Amino acid sequence: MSLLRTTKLAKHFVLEKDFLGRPTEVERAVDGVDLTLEDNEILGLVGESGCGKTTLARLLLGILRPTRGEIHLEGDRIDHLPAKRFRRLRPKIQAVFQDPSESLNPRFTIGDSIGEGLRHLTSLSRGDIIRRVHEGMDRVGLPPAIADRYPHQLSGGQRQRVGIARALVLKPRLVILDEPTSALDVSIQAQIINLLLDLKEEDRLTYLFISHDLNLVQYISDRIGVMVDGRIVEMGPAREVGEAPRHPETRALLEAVSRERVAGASPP
Amino acid sequence: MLWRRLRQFGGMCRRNGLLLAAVACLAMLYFTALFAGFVSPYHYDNEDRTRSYHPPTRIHLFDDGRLTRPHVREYELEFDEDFRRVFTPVEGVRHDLRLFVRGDSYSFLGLLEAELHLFGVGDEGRIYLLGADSRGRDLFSRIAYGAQVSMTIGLVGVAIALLFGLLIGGISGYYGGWIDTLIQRSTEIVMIIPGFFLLLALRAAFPPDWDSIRVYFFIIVILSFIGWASLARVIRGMVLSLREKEFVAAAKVLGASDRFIITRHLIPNTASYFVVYASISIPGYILGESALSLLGLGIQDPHASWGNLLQEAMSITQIQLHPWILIPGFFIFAAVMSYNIVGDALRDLLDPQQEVTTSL
Amino acid sequence: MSRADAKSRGVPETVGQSDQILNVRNLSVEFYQGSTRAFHAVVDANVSVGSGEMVGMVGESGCGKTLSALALLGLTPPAARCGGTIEYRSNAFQADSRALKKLRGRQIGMIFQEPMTALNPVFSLDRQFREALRYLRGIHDRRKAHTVSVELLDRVGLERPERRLAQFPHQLSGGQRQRAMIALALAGEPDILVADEPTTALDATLERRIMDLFRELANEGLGILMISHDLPLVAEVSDRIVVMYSGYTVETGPAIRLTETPQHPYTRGLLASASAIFSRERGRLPVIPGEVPSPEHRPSGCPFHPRCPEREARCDRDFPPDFEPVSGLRTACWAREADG
Repeated sequence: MSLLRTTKLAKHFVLEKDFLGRPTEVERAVDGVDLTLEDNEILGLVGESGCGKTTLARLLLGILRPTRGEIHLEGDRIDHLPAKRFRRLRPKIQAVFQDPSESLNPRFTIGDSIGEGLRHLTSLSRGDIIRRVHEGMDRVGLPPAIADRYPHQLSGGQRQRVGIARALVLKPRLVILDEPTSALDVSIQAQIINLLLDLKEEDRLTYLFISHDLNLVQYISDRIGVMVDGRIVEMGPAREVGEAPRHPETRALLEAVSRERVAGASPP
Repeated sequence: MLWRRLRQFGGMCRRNGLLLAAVACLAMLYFTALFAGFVSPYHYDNEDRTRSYHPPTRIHLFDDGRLTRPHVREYELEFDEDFRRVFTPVEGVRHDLRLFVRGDSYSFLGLLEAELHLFGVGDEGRIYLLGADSRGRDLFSRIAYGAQVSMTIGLVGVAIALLFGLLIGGISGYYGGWIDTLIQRSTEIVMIIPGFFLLLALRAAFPPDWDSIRVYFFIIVILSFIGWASLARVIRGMVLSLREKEFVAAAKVLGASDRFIITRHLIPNTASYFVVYASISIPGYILGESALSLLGLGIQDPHASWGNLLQEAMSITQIQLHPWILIPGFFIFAAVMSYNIVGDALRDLLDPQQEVTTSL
Repeated sequence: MSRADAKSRGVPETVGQSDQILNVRNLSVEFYQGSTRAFHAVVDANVSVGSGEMVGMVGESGCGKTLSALALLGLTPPAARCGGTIEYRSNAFQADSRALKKLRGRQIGMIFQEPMTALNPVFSLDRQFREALRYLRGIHDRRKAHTVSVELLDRVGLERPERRLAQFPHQLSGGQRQRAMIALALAGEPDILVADEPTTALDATLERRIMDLFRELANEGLGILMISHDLPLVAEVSDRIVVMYSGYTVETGPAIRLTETPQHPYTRGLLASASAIFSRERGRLPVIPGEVPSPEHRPSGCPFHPRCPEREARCDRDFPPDFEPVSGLRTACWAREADG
């Protein structure tokens, strides 16, 4: 049984209505997406800005409600659950966001940020939460001393480690990574990618890795989906998509991100 | 974070003399308000009808050309040919000015009865630092007691307006949809009512013989009822953009409730605005209370507020004859100016781009 | 001693020296708070751009790449003080001099990361081009200005230029706006175009098209200084690369040689991670350990030494001079002293 499955998932935003409130202009941000995530795999989702990949992530995270279609988690349908019951599933599907300086509340200490999920979704005592927070910080390579600091006192890489720790302490099954490295400095990106790969193995995590960077997606993913205008136009094993793309959009993307000089250079 | 801001503010004070003066002025006024009973030589209702409109007493350092203890002279009321009051010094009678004297009893900080005053001249004479009113009450003492009303009404009023404005604005911006529409239309209705007339109308609807405490709270409630709407609108706008931030999406994924998101994630991030708003709108409350009391609809005699002290200054002949009765107006001016200067500085400190308009 | 060495680093280039139009030597930018120095944002940057040459300046946040570009246009914020020399053709300028501003627009064009902020949203393109042409080229005649504008837009590959001119910035797509920006930067007929992260806000396919346009412009003789954080991209399209780290130029050389045989440990680290990604071999990526230093807390000596795998005892004391361990590559690293 697959971990997560969507069928004909769609999200339409009404941009304009006429005077009777009937929609006259609709944006089909996600338009019929069938997606399966197997246990412990990394599925890369690539597409240009506005293709609907972030909306899809928000649907899976239950931040947005789908217009149509279904989401199944471990065989159970979850897209129509009332908020109270969906909360119980929240620890299982977690997320790491793109820009850690945006996704951390500037007025929360690091410890509070990492412990926020535990505070809302578990009945752990304060002491237990603090212990779990320190555990989580240790696992992502953050010194415990920074628990009392604020995000602006940290470097970009440390901030993203906080973002990862905060998802991790909830012991999720699926982590949706929405451009987790694109706001980071180049020399820090590799550190974060390695950390994500380590954690995936240790915790048997499943990743949905969303990015505009096809090279990175090809490197990290087992399978790749290419999203264009709210639809997934191509889906397959990473190597296959990278070497024998079928859809013209995929070919255009591959061509645009080819870096022959660096790819050809042998590492010193 | 707060500590860093405070230090930055300290730095601004050092560089900006005007700001330093404003902060010092506010500190002095609040000190006076807090310790009004101690600072003032008399109780606010201690009258001496024989000394009606006594001019400010000079403090003399010399007696017969020799340096002595600071003292005041005794004055006698006479009438000149136009039947105007003239106070002439009585030869040979002097009252020494002393520190920490016993006098009228008052309640110290509302906790204990006390009789100790910062200064005084004893029971035989009277000292009028800033002159006396029509009933011979010391204007300085009445201004000190008046500060208790005038300087706190803004703080309490703004606190209430903040509470409602933040909550209602936060809810409006966060939920959007019909809740937002409903709240926005309500704030618009509140905002189109001319504030001062609403104040007058509401005051007229209630019995005129209310005691001062009740009137005090009534004024606060009315003023903050007018004040919250403009704040709620700005907070709504800020929340509207803040809720699109990734940290709000992250909080939802981490299971935060709507209440938690509004009160802990969104509203604290509008602090840079509402701190400025608070300091800039306090003068509005001070002026509002003064205006009401001036018209006789606010704090009632014998209780003092800067507004009702000015009631005596409503006739031009009185001002001509006894110019010192305008002094409470100077205190209002100083408080309002100081708050505006501090508010401007806070705006520069917290959010240089933000445009803030005063309400009321 | 590091200071004296730093001065000597501005030695004339051996390769293609004759056709260098712009030569920036020992550029420094310091920020002051009142009369005390707050921090040194750029310590020692050295860049040159030749005619028809595309130079990529790469570095991470806080390395001083953007400030260097602003400094050579005389656009640094008031709290900044600049040092060093900027040579444009046969004229040498002090980095802080007012005369630099005369170069701006006419000799050196500039385009920014976010085209929407650089174009004025309330004026049509036509009007913005007209103003630029009047100011930069003294073209007052409306019809002449229009013809030149159409030529400019045509040159940057914006289709149907007549129609675009009548439009406002918000009516253009992201790619069109960036092209319009480039056309506007070319209005003063500059020899050099400075582009600060010109494609960071754009999608990959658009990025590639803009890069192709830059390449064409360079082939027509324009010198381009492209500032970017993206080493693989810069390596792909540039003739020469300048690598910046924490306020210093650490390595300079022809793009192909620098990617094939990088000499500075920092460049090596960056390229190792990048090429491991391209190898598609799943495993752990080679990393540069540690954090990117901020200019306020720059490590002493060579600022890279705390993260460097080839660190020597002297590295935390003195910033190294340039060595040339491989022909054409100038590398500021003590570990290359024996080779160079």
